[in-house]
Amino acid sequence: MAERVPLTDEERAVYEWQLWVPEFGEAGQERLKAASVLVSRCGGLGSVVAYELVAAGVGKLVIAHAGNVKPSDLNRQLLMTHDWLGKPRVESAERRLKELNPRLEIVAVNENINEENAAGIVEQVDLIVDCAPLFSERFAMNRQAVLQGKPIVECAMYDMEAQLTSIVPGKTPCLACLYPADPPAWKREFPVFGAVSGTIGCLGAMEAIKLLAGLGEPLTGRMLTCDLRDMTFRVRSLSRNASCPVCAAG
Amino acid sequence: MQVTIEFAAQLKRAAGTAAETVDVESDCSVQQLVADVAGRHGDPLSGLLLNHEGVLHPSILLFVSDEQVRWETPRALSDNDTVTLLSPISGG
Repeated sequence: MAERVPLTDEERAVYEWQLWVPEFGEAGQERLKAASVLVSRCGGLGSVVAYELVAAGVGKLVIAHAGNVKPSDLNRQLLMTHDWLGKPRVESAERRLKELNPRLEIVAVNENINEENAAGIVEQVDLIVDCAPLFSERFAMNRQAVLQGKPIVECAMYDMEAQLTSIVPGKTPCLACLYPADPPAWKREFPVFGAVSGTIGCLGAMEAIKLLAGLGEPLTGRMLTCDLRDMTFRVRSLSRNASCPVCAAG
Repeated sequence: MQVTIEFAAQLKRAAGTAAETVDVESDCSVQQLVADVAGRHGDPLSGLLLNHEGVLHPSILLFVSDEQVRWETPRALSDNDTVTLLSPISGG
């Protein structure tokens, strides 16, 4: 749970409706204001995660995403716009986020997470929301999260399905417990609607808010699976891998 | 006895169905069931599920009645169990 930073009167007005949420209140909002979150990347999932966290008033958001906006981004990457085609994604994201909430600190990193930069970027935040497409990026973040003892919300999607779980190092399975190696069948590009990435992005943002504010029951040690074709939502229990190369020693 | 096996994400596409119900012997383990399913469907499902030694690929998550089961831990099935196989997915 994050530390607390007092709110201004303007902030009380902006966040008034969520201050009414039982067990959240002004103390919860002060924890969000004190908190910092990494969202990697800000594509279909990460755009919506970042937008919701900025709307909710997380004090500092670090967004990491390399490359320029492409036409095929625009069905789901809601922080990217037509007028930004060919220009850096992370600049479009930063601009849109600041339009929504100019009170917050946004740190835009024009790189994807990798083994070289993961430690320094993860050091800047209290919590990570993993929205990356490549398992090499996800494994790099997971390794640093375990080393630095920081929670990760893992968001994933495919077609009209999605998966979500929250990792708390030392208490829950880490990503390497679930997937010890790069999945051989995974492909970088896959079928998906923006409404699917938006759904799981909102749920991922809610998990981050819960973990930061100490609210409700996060999906720790559990995985939500959703199939939006038939609107099946289920929560399954996960187990740690006693011989996990990343977290077992800890 | 009867058990239902569910497939998610790429496995669903490879199986050509989201779920199927099958008759199994009363002493069937989940490991035997997965091997039988892989053998009956053949590729591409078989290749996504099992390596050349017949062991579940480590990145496939296996559940019995919503509880994760590790391949190396034998797990007997009961009548009307639901077995779920999830393939790894990510963002984009």
